[in-house]
Amino acid sequence: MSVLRFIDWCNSLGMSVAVRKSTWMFPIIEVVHLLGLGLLLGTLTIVSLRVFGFVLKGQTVYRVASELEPWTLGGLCVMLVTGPLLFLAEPRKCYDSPPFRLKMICLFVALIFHFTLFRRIIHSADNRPSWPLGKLGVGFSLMLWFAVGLAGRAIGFY
Amino acid sequence: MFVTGVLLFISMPLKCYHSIFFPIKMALLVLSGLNALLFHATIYRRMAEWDNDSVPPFQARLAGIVSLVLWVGVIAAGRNMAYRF
Repeated sequence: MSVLRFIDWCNSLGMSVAVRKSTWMFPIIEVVHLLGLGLLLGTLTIVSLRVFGFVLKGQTVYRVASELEPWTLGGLCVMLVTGPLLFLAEPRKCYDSPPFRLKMICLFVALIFHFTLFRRIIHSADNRPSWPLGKLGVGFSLMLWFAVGLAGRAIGFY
Repeated sequence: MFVTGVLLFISMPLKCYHSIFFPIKMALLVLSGLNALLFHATIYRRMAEWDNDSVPPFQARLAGIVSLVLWVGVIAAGRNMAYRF
């Protein structure tokens, strides 16, 4: 099935038609998407700052990360639900949009990196007080997520 | 945010002027500031008393909830400035 046929199918879905017809559905879903982003990036930034040694130095990296992780994952779930809904509102526009494609690539890489290398770094960080490679990895993770956000913002401007 | 906010406003003042959400957003920001001020002037001063409690006192939690609600409002209002209703 070609991608364009998939796009056409998306356009035919009830959800897609409903969001396109409504004046308020898209803005509401979008705001919820942004609030999820706040949770995801906010908690991730705090954990990363802890790995860099800038905040909460009285707590272990593991403590900070494990306490915040449910909120990170919660924010991620909110975004992974509202994101496709936003896509459904304008599938063809997203398909044609270079920032959207870049965003999806960055998201894919960010997710894989988060659930593999980032996890390993968090678990080892307390045993290696000054760990340039670990900090680099965490910095890279943060960059990936910010790239997703930036590309998402660019969709509207491109 | 303040610096970039001013820059954004300067770059398209008419869009801000024509949107109902801009004054709403500004009002919510003022309320957030007042909430923070109130918190810092009162219950925060006694934090040594309650900092180690498992559940902070009601006034502190109220300040937290109010803060969350107001800031969610700021985000919602700010985002909706882009749309014409």
